[in-house]
Amino acid sequence: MSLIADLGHAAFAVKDVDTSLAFYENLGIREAFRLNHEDGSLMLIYLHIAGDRFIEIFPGGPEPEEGRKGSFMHLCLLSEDIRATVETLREAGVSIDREVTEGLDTNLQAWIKDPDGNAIELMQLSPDSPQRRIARGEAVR
Amino acid sequence: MKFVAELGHAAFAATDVEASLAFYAALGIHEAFRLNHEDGALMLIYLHIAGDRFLEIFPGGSRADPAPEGSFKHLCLLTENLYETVASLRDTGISIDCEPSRGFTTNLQAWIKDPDGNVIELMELNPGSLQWRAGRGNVIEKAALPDDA
Repeated sequence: MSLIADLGHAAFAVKDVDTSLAFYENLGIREAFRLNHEDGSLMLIYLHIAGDRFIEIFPGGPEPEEGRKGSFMHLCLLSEDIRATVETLREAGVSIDREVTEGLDTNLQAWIKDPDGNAIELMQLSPDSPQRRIARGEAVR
Repeated sequence: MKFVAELGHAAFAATDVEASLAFYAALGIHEAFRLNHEDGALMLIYLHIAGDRFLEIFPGGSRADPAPEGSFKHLCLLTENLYETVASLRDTGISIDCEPSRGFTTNLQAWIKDPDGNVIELMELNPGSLQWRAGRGNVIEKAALPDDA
């Protein structure tokens, strides 16, 4: 088993969700599903690229300002066995910022940082997760 | 035809290339090939993830930044016909920062920005290019690199 199976998604914070949806729509990249906070407010939107690969856009991005270089949040790498991957990384001396937990979307996730401080999410997709259902071509409400 | 066929790569500027290579090696993500400037200095390293998906590691990350928030450079999306994609984007009012041109790895590329200023590269892989071959299980020998690399 390879520790990392694939690139999962890149995540961006956006200032205006509708503007960003329109931008990606022009690229043929469309909304797959959204996840909300418990109070019903938007947490993030998944846009489907291909297979298990997505772009995540989060509301609440920073205001435009001179010199700001973008709104990248994190890169997600997919693992087929996240607990084995995390244990291997720990043994290799990589600090685990957040241990394995199950997310809202039923997938397992853990978090590390690369040497330059970029947040990297490790994710093991659950067969019933919205990501896998989209990848299989099913509709996700 | 789908405008965007695939996620291509994410690119980072590394403060210490060796530290980054070691970090990704611990993840099982290994160097596929590197590209050099004409003077022989390192331009970037391609790390292979799966299929046509890579990470790009550039040297020269901003060590001086007192509060670095990361070193993200750009996200690359793959298209099967770059000229059609760019023409369509232009029709919808998207500004094309760099028109399609052939990079020195022989792939066609163009550049845009998302509404938040994130740099997005659009790329049409040229069959036989380094990325195309590395994505199909070929080991890239130094001799196979472009003459000016």
